[in-house]
Amino acid sequence: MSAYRMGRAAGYISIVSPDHAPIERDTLQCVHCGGHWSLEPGSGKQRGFCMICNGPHCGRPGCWNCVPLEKRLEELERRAAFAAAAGLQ
Amino acid sequence: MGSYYGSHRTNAGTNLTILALESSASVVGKVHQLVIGSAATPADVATRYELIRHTTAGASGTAVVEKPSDPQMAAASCNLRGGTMTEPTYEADFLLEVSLNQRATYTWIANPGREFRTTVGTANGVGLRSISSGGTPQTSLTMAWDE
Repeated sequence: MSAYRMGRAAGYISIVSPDHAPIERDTLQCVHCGGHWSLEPGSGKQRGFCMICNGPHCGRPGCWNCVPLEKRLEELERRAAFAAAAGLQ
Repeated sequence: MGSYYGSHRTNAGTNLTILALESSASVVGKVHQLVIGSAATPADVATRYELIRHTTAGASGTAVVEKPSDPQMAAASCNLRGGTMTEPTYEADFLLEVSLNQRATYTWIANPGREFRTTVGTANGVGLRSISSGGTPQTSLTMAWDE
């Protein structure tokens, strides 16, 4: 079995296939977009840590500036409410 | 708070939604478990799936019945829509990316408080979508969420 486990994980994945031994990974959650990813040591992917949110971020371009997940969701909801009020949906 | 499950099976391909969870006007869903697999004859077909938020709901498709984990529980407020459908309008960034051989079964489970939360509004939700594939493998998805 191949496994990368860690403390304070946000989630867990398991892949079962006849081609290889079961794979287990813990996942982290981006404090800005809410996305999950699994740690892959040596992958070369650049992640980050937000000192304001005190948590990891996924490293995608939109996540390097601090917009906490809850605020982002509220903005999406306001946008949807506006679109509905304006008859755009 | 209620806990619900829903499953759907359809062919994957290029930009095809397998299953989408749509919020209601006042209730959001918190996706905490995904199980992706295939019941088709085993074959080596690589497919990339992404879980993405959408801001315009899909149309047509298959109405998927949600099942509460507790039979005594009220019906779900959120709506499940299964593919093939007129695709929703998705955000650019995905929340979870899964690249999978058709032979494999993939399970993702969120720890409490780390779920994928949708935003309120019937246009909003999250969907698991096949982005690209080496074929059109039949894909089964089970999604579990709280609301």
